[in-house]
Amino acid sequence: MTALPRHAVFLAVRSLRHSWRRSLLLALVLGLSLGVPLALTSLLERASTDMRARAAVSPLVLGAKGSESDLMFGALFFAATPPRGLSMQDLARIEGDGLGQAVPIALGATAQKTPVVGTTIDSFDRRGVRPTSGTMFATIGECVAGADAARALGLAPGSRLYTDPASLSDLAGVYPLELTVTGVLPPTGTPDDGVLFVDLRTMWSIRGLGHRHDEPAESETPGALIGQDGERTIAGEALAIERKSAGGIADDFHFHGDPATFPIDAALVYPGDAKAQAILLGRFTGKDETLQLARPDQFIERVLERIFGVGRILGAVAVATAVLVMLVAALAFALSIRLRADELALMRRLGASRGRVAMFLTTEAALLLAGALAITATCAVAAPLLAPLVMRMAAG
Amino acid sequence: MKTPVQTTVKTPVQTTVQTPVQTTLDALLVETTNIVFRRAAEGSSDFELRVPAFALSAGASLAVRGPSGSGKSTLLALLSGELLPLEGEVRAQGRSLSEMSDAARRAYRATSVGQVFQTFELVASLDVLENVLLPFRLHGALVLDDAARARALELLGRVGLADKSRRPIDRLSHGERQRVAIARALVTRPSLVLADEPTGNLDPALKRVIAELLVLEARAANAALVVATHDESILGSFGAVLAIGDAHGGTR
Repeated sequence: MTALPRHAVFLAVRSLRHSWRRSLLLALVLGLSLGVPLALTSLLERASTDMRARAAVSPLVLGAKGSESDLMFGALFFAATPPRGLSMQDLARIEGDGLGQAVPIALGATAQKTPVVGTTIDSFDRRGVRPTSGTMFATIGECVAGADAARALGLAPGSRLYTDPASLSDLAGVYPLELTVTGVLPPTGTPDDGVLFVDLRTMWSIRGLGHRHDEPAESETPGALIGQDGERTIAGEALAIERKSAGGIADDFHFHGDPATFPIDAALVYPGDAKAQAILLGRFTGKDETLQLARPDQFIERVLERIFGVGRILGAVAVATAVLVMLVAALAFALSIRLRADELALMRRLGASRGRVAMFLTTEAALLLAGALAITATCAVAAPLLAPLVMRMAAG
Repeated sequence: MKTPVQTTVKTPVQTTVQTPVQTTLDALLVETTNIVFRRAAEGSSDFELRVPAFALSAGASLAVRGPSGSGKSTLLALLSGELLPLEGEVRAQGRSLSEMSDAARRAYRATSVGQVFQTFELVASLDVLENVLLPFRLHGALVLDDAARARALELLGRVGLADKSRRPIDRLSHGERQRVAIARALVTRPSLVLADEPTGNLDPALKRVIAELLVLEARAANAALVVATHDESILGSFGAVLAIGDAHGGTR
């Protein structure tokens, strides 16, 4: 660096540092006023890209009649509870005549606050996803973790965790079940990364539809046995149904009732071809129809239109604000120069040219602007990380 | 050799003053011919300053005394080339300031003139040493190198601030601030030092100390010193006194 720019930068840095509160405030206000609209734009772009991509790989979604939004956000993003009323036997209406394949999805449980999604192996075959470490779940009580979920919870093949009880008052609802991680999925940049996948039967077990019994007389759990009455063993209530699934459970785990009637929340439907898709869509339009079959791509476009409508208004407001803020910041800078008139006059008296003094001030303004732009860039870069939040908000 | 100096302030008061100024012909740094400077003043009568020829040699010290508005600061600005006379000329190192280009006058001011001000005029965002070195950042003819830094530290030592070179300006007393200003005025090894009311903002006890320091350091640097002051108590520190705008006249 030659002498003049070096001196200009030196004096500018000293001056900015001397009144660092003013400098910081100006840089922050400027940076944020530019950064917020930019962040909003990049956030919406990212969110819409993600949502469109998800819709593109999921041709049709089947669910019970009710809120289409709940069905879509539940089935595609695991971010809502679809309307109740769909069961396994309904899938026959898709698959019965070979028009397409239906991959069931069951929601409604969490483990350490992370959503647990029940599905079948078909779901992974459809997306061509395989665990990067470990293996797929094979039996009740096993799960594979999405990449983000595994990182957040520190899970690896062999890890164990319990599902969360739904609520203390809901005794008939979700009970804790121990899950064993068999594999971790690769990052896909989709909501799949943030959940734990289990087999449908595991989900039904969590919901209390399946269980196993311990042999009370053989239990080693302290306090599990209350006493012995002749031939009968009196068991503590806690022992009656044990929900621990580890240890050769496949043998004694069983379901009561007909699995065909067991509930699922949605199904991703893959029609064989365009014609099959048209036929399937027509199949669920009846007046007394209790189910709905909908196209995610059309749904997502409608949602995005709404979001971008709001985004456009916010964007216009933000741009107007940014212009105002820049004017005010320029005014504040001009004012600060006037407050330093003595200092600048001194430089002139000591022999500095008008151009040199102007360069000092320009350098100072440029450094301030650079700081502001760094803040702006941070906003723009960080904003897309909030994309899942937009999706969640859209899901209501 | 004695040179008469005359200042005239038009109505309401007109004064004519004669003062002796010592000059040594073999080492003239600054010489003036009969200078006339005039400035239109709004709402009152025009200001006019007349300074008949005088000359200053290296090491000479001159106090210019007179009440506010008598033209002391104007005379200093004429000597630094910030203002140009209407008639007559100021010659520095043999060249007429009036005939120089703006850039050459700025270069002259930056390299050959050191300035001290009543309100110190230090830059608040710079520390003591950085303030002393400021002139080197203001003009391309001056190079901020190790020699300049050594000179600055030496001067700070001479004015008694060796241990405060990295201190912020706002943590100095008034007396210390003016010492910094004196070091700054001398750091470029100027041939002429101009001080405008350098003791005007100081406690009475400090005035003489600072005035004598200024004279001593200017002489040590072999620079001519011109001090504008209306402070009678420090006049004894200077080799000569020039009184302007004072009806009683003033010689010493």
